[in-house]
Parts: sequence; structure tokens; C-alpha cells
Amino acid sequence: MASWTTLAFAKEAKQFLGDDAVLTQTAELKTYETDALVMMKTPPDVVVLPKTTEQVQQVIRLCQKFDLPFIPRGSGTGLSGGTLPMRGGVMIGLSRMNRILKIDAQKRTAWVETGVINAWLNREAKPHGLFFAPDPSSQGACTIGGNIAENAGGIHCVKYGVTSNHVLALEVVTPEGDIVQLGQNSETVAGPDWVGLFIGSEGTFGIATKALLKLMPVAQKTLVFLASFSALTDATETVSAIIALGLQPSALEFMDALTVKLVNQAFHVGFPEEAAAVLLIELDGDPRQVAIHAQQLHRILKEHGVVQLREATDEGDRLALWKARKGTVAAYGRLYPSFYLHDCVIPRSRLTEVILAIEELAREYDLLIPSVFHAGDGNLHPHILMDPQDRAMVKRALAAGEAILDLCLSVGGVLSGEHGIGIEKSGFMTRLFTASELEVMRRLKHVFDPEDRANPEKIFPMRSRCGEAHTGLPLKILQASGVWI
Amino acid sequence: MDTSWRPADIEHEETPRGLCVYPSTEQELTRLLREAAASKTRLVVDLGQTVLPWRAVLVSYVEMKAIREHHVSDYLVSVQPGITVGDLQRELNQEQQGLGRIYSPHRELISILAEETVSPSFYLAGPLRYQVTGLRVITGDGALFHYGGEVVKNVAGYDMIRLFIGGQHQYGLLTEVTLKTKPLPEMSRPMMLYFSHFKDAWHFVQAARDVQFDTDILAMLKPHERQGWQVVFRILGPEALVEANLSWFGRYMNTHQPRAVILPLAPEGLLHWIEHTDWTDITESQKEGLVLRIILPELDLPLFLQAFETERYLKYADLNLCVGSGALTFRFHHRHSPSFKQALQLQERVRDMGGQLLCLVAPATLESEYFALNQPQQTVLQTWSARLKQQFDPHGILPNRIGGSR
Repeated sequence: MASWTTLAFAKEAKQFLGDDAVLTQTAELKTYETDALVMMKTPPDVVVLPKTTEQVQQVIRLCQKFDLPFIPRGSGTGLSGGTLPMRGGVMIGLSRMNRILKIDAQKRTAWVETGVINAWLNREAKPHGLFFAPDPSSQGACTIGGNIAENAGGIHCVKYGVTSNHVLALEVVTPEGDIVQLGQNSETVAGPDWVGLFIGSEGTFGIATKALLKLMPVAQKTLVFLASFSALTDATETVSAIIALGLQPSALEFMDALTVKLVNQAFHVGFPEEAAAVLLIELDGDPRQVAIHAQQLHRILKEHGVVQLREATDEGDRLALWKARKGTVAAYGRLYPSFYLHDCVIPRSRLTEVILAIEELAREYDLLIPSVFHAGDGNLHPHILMDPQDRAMVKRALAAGEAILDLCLSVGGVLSGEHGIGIEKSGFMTRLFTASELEVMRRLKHVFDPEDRANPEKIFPMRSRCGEAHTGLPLKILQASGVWI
Repeated sequence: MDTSWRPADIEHEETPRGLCVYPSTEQELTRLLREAAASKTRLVVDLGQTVLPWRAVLVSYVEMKAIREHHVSDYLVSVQPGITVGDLQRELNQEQQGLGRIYSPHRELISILAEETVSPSFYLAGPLRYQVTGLRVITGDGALFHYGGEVVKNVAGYDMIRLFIGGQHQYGLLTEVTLKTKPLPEMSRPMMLYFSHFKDAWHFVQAARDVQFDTDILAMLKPHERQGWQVVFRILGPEALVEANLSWFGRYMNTHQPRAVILPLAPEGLLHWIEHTDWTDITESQKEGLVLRIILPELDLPLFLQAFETERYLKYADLNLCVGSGALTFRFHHRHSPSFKQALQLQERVRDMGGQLLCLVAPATLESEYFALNQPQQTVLQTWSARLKQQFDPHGILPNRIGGSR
């Protein structure tokens, strides 16, 4: 039930946003109770849908007045529960701030509102021979603002870098209700890199309402190879060999046997089903360079026992392969209704041993854990398939997930490469950072948000200040959303 | 400040410039910071010929130069930041790897990291902070912080690399960094062009950018004593690719026939050039005077030069542009430096053009005055800057490059 404070907030917000931009009804709020971490749900007290930066500013000032926290939200495709309103409060949806303001083909930049969908920008940039490099699998739905909040990556960031390498400037509404522009037209900075600090801060430093993005020229030549292997280790060692030769592919993706089978069933792309693993490798650039690198790639693949090699030469074939790759999550849905996904990053030289160990964990916990991941970055995405109604299975999935994280940390890995920490991995932060290190990070949060109003309870483990390290997923939320522990 | 304070059990010496401390381990540096904080002693990192400000202690990194680990197959290297670029490159070269950036070999990594020095390799490699995957740092109150490491992608927590790399020692002192390395190219061909006219040099640079010329270095330079402009580039890659790029270059020169002299450079020649054009090298520059940087949309460079061509003091400045960085760096020789008032006026006009003017190097006696140019214009950024100092250097013992209180 809405509190008096919430109702009073909503009443005032409607005065400058209009009735249709302030949602308070239970049914309306239900849409916003979760993001792509669907096993965790908790609704906000109120949702507002501003259309301008000034309206966002007014909302935040109103939050100050009523002492309410706020939670920014794009399309809700985040995988770490970053938009869950852990303390209730006001959810600020940016979906109506969705204009591409200017594409400057000469300077290779674009000013956009942050509610713009990633794929829309690419659609508009393409006629100029340009593209925005970060391309998460949710690119058709996720917003630029979400990409900024999570420092999103994607398939092509192995060559082109993550979101923070492609943002030049931001217009931000601070948690104290000010509008500020961070950065300018250049990647050169003197002193703190405010833009770089803001990106990946998961909405805890304020709300980016506009962004000046760097666009890249579309490569003159692109080749995509689908290489299949009869042994999983042949595939992972091929990855190491490609990295070691310094080939710098624009994509280097790994899919295991189960993923291949499910993707074939879902998309009929004709991936070789007898393969123990396949690699999708993309080379792009100057045609002469691509030709030279393709020769080198052929040699590496041969040396590492490639069984079958398919080259996608035309755009239609290439797009079909990438569509299948980006659709793996949907393909997994054919086996189980849900999954628990991890996003850890490990040193690339440790791929083989970690992948084998994850296979072992799948057997130990009696689960299916198919893997599709950004091999070129060492960014693993083990999907622990499960049925949320099967309590025993959920319990095993959570335990297996924890074991995978520990495994990755034990080889020098980190908790997340592109999905963020959010609420889902906040409990594990004490395994990566000491209490003192977390305190140093909290000091940074204090610089931007001294009242802890912006997206509270994210990134940092609950109660870690008191030394009571909380580990794992927040039990309260899991139980509230119907997941039995 | 307690002027009798001396760090216990850490190598130090009284020099003509004052007390100089030589920590050799992270533990020693941590203790040094804690003791300095307790006695409110200001610390300044020695970058070679750093002039010691009054009542401060010089911290030298010369004993912190170990290569912790070269993760050869991961293309990463972890080092203590006192190592020189030359020593690090030599070590990497043994495994057929390199930094993929060119800096003067005698510079210590610490100065490059702290200043986030813009290199002529910016064109291909981008800002230095993109190359750092991990760091260990001690904040102004002695808290040790470790972030990232042997992974090339990381969103676990705030990206503290963006605070400490380029942080100019204001928020903490680095004790270790992990950097990405690159395979050595099969072949490289450095070249220098002397163009008689700016427009020809600019046209060449834009053409190279448009065809995605395979060069890692692309820089423009105008020494004050010469009329023309230098352009330096280095084609690199497999032999066939280098040949193909040289063909493009030949065709360009034949088609456009600019008034230019082509000078192939030997690798030593390239290093010699970088040593004499790295104006952010404090060691050299402090003897010379003032170094200002103008950051602006790079394609507006011709407009900028046109707008300022009548400014007399700019005629006596050396100018360098590392293409892609949008950063024009001016070195003024002492006699011809703009006054602070002139610099302020220049800053106003640059802001009107959508750019930013900063002071990178100033003579020690004028630092606090000229560093005031670095004060952010927006009130919010001023507040955040002050809070950063308060949070990470609560005792005010580390440098303040924003101006005013040093």
C-alpha cells in the first residue's frame, strides 16, 4: 500500500509531469518490479516517466524534499538486478527520453538522449558508414543509458572496447538535483576522468540524461568463421593461440556442445551438432589486413585440430550466425524456463582449466550449465539452467553459481565483466575486495551522492559497514519473489 | 608541519633540495603516507628534476621499479611504477611484445601514469587509461586499495582506474599497475614529413584518418623557430600490409603534390624525436617555462589557429598535436610565456569555441597561480573535486593540481 509520502510525492510530480507519467497503481507498478534478473522481484512505490532533463531534475529535487531514494531504469534488460528498488522509492524510467539528437558524420559522434535503444542508434548511424561499438545481446531492447550504467560490452568489445571507451561526454542530473555536463569532445582529460567514473556506476552517482557517443567507421571488409572442434580443449587452446599471435579479431565467441544443439533447434542455422565446441571468429578492417589475418587464422585453426570450418562471406549469412549467437538465451528456454547467469572474467590463459572445472561442477550439482561466452575477453557466461518452481534445483543452482564464482576468483578473475554487480552480486563483493577496499569505494560514492539517495543498496554488500559480511543473493528478495531457499 | 619528522626505517637523504625519501616496497610507501599524514607533512613525487616546494618531502620511485610478473600469454605485465619506459620495453621485447605506445625511454612510468601523458600513439591506442587493467594504490590517509588485475574486462565495483590514472598524485600514490601489452609488429616504417604549409599537413592527416591508414603514430608538430609543420607517422604490420600502405602514401603524394620533404626515420631517430617533443616531460619542461594544453574538437583545429594567429605569444610557442587526442599542447619558452592574465583571456576564448584550456606545467614559483586555470568551470565539478580531495587525501598531504591551496 502506498504511503502518505509516496502519495504526496505523486501528487506533486503529476503537476509537472502530467497524470500519464506518474504511475502508482499496483498493476502498473508490477511491470517495474524486476529486470532481466527475473528471479528477484520487488516493486517501486511510484514510477515516473519524464521526457526532459529538466523534468528529471524536478523529480530528483522532489525526492530530496520527501526524502525518497530514486532508481533509474532504462528498458529493464539488466541482468544483475540493478533496477530493483531495494528501499522502495521512486523509479525514474527514461524510456520517453528516446531521441537521437544529432549525428555528426564528419566528427564521428552522436548526441543522444539516454532512453534511445542501442539498435536504433546503429540503424541511424549505418547510412553514414558508422556504428556504435558496444553491442550487448540485448541490443535490440537495451538503452544507451543502461549501457552507460553497466558499462556494457558485447560481442565486438574484444577489439573495440566497452561502453566507457565510446562515450565522450554526458549530461547528468546529480543526486543533489543539479544538471552538469561531464567531459567534452575529446577523450583527453586532465585530472579525474568524470565520464569514466560515472560509466559503470550503476545509477549510484546520478542519472545520465544525454550522451555524446563516439561512432566508429564500419569496416571495409568483414569475415566471420564458424570453427568446430571435436574436443572442448582444442577450442579453448585455439582462443589462447589467437590471442598469443596478436590477431585482434573483432569477435571471438565460444559455444559449447549443448548450446550448439539448442541454438540449432531454435534457429536452424546448421551449426555442426557433433562438435564438442565451436568458435565464432570475426575479422574486420582493411581488406588487405583481413586477408593476411585470415591466412594466419587458418593456420592456427589447422594446428589446433579444427574439424569443420565455415566462412560466412555475405552479410545475410553473417547476420544469421550472429542472430543465433545473440539468441542463445531464448534457445536455452527450450529446455528450462529460467536460468541463473554469471558473468565472471578470468585471465584468458586460464580458459581451458576453468571451463573443464565448470563442467565438473555441473556434474557435481546435477545441473545443466551450458556455456556461451566472449572467449577473446575471458568473459564467461555460464548459464545454470533451472526451473524456479523446483525448490531443490534452485538451491543447487545457487550453490553451483557460488562455486563458479569462487573458482573464477581463485584464478585471479573478477565478478563481472559487463553485467554489473547490482544487487545480485553485491553479496559476493567481500570475496573480491577487503572491507577497507570497499570503504575506499564508498568514499567515491559519497563524493557524488552524500545522502545515499541514488539507487541505494547496489554494488556494496548489505551490512558490510558493520563488518557483518553478507554473502550470496539477498534472501529476503528471493523469498519475496517466490524462490524458496 | 613537524619539520623534524623523518620516516623511520625508510631510506632517505638530505639533499640540497630538501629531504628525499626512497621507499622500495608497498609497505614502506604505506608507512610513509601514514606517518606523513600524522605529522601533516606534504609529499611531492619526484619526476626527475622536480623543484621541491617549501616544507615538503620529495618521494622518489627509483627503488620501486620491479617487474612483478609478465603474463606473456595474456599480454599483460604487472610492474612497480618506478620503472622507466625503456627498461620496461626492453623486458617486453624479449618476449616479442611491447607497450604499443611510444614515450621517451628515460621517463618513469609513474609520471606517465599520473599525468596520463598523451603520446603520439594516441591515434591507434587511445588514452593510456584504456591500457591499464589493474592497480594498487595507497590513498592519502594510508589505505591500500587494489583494483582489477590480470583481466581485460571488469565492472566489479567503481572503475577506480579512472580516478588514479591521470589523477596527478592528488588522491593516492600508485604502487603497482598492470598494463596490456601488444605483439611487436612484423615490420614498422617510421617517417617524418616537413610540410611548408599547415593546410597541406592537415589535409594529409585527414586523408590518413579517412582511409584508416595503418599507422600507430600520427602527430603534428610546429616548432616555434620553423615556419612549416612536421607530421610523424609509423606504418606497421605484416610486410604486405606495410607495402600496401606505403603504396597509398606514394599515391597520395603524387596526386596532391604538397610542398613537403619526406624523411624516413630510423628507430633511434624516432626515439630522439619523441625525447625532444614530449613537452609534458616535467624534467625538461620545467627548465623551459610554461606548458598549456587546449582540448578541443580536433576538426576545429584550423579554425582555432585562424582565430589565434594574431596572438603574438603563440608565435613563440612550440605546438604539438597527437592526432586523435584533441589535445593541442603548447610549450612556451620562459621569456615568451603569456602572463597569467593573457592565459585567462586565452582560456575564455577557447571556452567560447567549446574547448578547454589547462595548465600542465608551470615554473614552481608560479604553480599555484597557473594551476588555478585547471579549476573546473562548473560549480558541481568544483564541489566534487573538493570532496574527492577530502575523501582521498583528508590531511592534505598530497599535491593539489586544481590550484589555490598547494
